[in-house]
Amino acid sequence: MNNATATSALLDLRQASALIERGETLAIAGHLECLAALPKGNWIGGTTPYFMASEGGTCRLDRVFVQPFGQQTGEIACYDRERLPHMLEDAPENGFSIVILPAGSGVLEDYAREAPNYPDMYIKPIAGWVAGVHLDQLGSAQAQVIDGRSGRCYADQAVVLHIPLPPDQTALVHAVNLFKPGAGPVLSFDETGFAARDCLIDGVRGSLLELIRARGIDTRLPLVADYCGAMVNVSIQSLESEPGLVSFYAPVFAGVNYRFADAVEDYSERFLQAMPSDGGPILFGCNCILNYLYSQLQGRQTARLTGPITFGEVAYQLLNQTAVYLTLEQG
Amino acid sequence: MKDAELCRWLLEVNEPWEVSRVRVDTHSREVHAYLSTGKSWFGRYLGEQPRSRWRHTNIGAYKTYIHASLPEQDGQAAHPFLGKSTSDFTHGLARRVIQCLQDGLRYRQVCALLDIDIHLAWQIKHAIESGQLAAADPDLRAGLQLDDPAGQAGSTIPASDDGVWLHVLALDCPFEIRLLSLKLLLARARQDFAKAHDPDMQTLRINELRRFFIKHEKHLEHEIAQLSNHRQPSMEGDQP
Repeated sequence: MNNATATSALLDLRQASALIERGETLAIAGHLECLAALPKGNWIGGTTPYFMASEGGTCRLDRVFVQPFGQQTGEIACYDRERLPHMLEDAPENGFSIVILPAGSGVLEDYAREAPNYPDMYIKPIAGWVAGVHLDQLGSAQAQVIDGRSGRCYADQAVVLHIPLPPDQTALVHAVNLFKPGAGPVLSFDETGFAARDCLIDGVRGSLLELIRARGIDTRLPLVADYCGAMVNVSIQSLESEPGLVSFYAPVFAGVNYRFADAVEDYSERFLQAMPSDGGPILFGCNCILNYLYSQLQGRQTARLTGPITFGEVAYQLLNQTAVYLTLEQG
Repeated sequence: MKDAELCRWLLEVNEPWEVSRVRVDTHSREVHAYLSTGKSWFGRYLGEQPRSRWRHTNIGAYKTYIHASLPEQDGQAAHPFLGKSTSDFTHGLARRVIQCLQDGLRYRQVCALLDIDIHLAWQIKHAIESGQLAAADPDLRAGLQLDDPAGQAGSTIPASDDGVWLHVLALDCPFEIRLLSLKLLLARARQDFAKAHDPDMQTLRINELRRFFIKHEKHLEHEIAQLSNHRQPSMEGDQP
């Protein structure tokens, strides 16, 4: 891959259209009206008006964030719930895949639950994000993904860009998660799911909701599990949408131990410290809307990691409150 | 003729098996054929059902891989296009290797002829030497021991029956990992190992982990060194 072409940036529609018409393979994030106004071409898109631009976090309804992957490269595929598990079978043996999934969809729910068991998962690199809507439109608008070849929008399919690489190049997927498990009790769940009432609290069955209330836990802090050194978050979506129920933005998995995270002070500063300065060029990045909101990233920078602000992040499996990026490595 | 139908002829796949899907990776020069045993499986995700991935003899210059879930009952015919559930290679490829050896080629020549890399070469060689391949006679096994150019000496990744994998998959084994993908893969494999008591399932997980190490060998210097350290105390002399 020649990474000396265009670089990721927040562009106006004229600039983005020029890249599409030049034959660039692109992943594009933006407000639905902006995406719908772009010409057909070799690109995939998803809706979000929030971005981490080089100038800092911002919300724009008149611009799109464009991530280029070279000219006339890769294949685009759309996946419904039936085909979704075969996504990585279509991925090149050496290369990477960028996936965009619509928030609130069946494909997202399936991916969140089942992706760890999909064929070739963790073997072939995949990164991506969950499309959403402006927060003022929550409940009234639908997240969408777009297949740029046809211009068709989907609220019930995932769109994927499969990019091959030459033998001397490798893609690596990284996650920056500043949250660490706190000193509170260990929580484990009987079933994998997006909501729970009871769980084991230090081995004793109890109500998760009562635990949160009794301990005054700040629900902006995620549950964190340690996956052989990778910290994986599950963010709290709501309390008591039904009596006694705690809902999550990603599923908790049965058999995995969780703890509520410690608070992170000064996210922007800590993020700068956490981002490695070495490594290959960043081809793709995204960061979570909850980090944007809770850590007040509007107008603040996150080192060289730019990209859409998203409603879930994919670094192989679905993550929450995490920044994800993909680098191109030689050798 | 459709791709799947063409592939069925080339691979000599016969009933009840059929080629449900073919993927040709022109960049890596690989053909991947996905087999199933009937229309009822077609396109359906089988979730937890373990699926094997076997290297087969090349189609032209393209390395050929076959993916299939074997039925649980034993006594399946040893179709050339399938392999043992726990194996990395098809019966057909193993027979081809043995035939070449019986015709007088040295193992190094066989591997070059059939486009077999050092990792797979060692797996097949080990299967022959340990008597897992019925067609291999004792003389042929003995001859292999004198011809080890493609043996484990050339590979930094332990074979799938090396005890180090069981050690790494133990929940309490300290193993420092730098790559996110390997952290997630090992975490999943350890969870599966803790609850799965089927040896075939365990071997499939080991094969998957080993495949990761082979694929990402260049980026796993730190992790491969740890594998080597874990092997030192118990494995000396185990490898030919």
